[in-house]
Amino acid sequence: MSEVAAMHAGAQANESPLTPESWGKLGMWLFLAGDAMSFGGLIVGYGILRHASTKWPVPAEVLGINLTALMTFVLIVSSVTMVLSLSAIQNGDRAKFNKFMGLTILGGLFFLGCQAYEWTHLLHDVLPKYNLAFSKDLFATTFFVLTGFHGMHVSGGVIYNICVFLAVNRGRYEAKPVEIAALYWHFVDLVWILIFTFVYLL
Amino acid sequence: MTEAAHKQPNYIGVFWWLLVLTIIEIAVIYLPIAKFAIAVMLIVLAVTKAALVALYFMHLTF
Repeated sequence: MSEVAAMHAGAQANESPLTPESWGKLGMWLFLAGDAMSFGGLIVGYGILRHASTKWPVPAEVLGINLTALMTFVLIVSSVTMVLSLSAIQNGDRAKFNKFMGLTILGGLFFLGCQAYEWTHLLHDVLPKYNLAFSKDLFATTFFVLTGFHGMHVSGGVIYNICVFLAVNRGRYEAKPVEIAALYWHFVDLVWILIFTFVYLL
Repeated sequence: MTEAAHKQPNYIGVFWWLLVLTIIEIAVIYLPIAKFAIAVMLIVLAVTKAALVALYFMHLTF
């Protein structure tokens, strides 16, 4: 509400009161809304297939929770470091921004590394034991499609964050682009929270 | 401009909540209760965590 009032006060005479405070931010929110629909479709499809199945393996037994719990923890921490890096650059503290943005990037890379290990372990050791395989049964296929689609988003996010990190240090960007990148990164974390719950825990 | 008008949320506080909720989620799946009850609890916990990230980290609250 205060944002709307301030926007109104600073608006030009011929500017619509609907003009957003930042076109970039609006654009990112619109993108995230569409992306949420993509993930939503995949998760609901997963739910329907699983509900219709009579012999769905117990995820906690096949997939193991320990590594994934660590991955969840690391991704949540990276969301915290991301928001702290934004806070730092909003206060003009470049060194602190570098530290926290660096940690966010490392968190993302750690998550991807863990996922690569988890996938390899599943493909070579675990799934054959249960006679499961990608594109042969629904459990494995939906698992890899869902976590793979998310993993691609994390990879994109890491590259995005590296680009923003470099651009800030070259003096080309200030707080707003970091804020927009942070929105994307939080979204990726949020989707993982849901995937972790529905695919691994339930 | 208006971002500084209201005070910054307690990011670390939100993090602790996210951590606690995650631990509770993992504990819930081992409870000896009906699967449906577990599912409901997990969904409530997951939605709460998602809301915390959206409201505080993505600055949706004023």
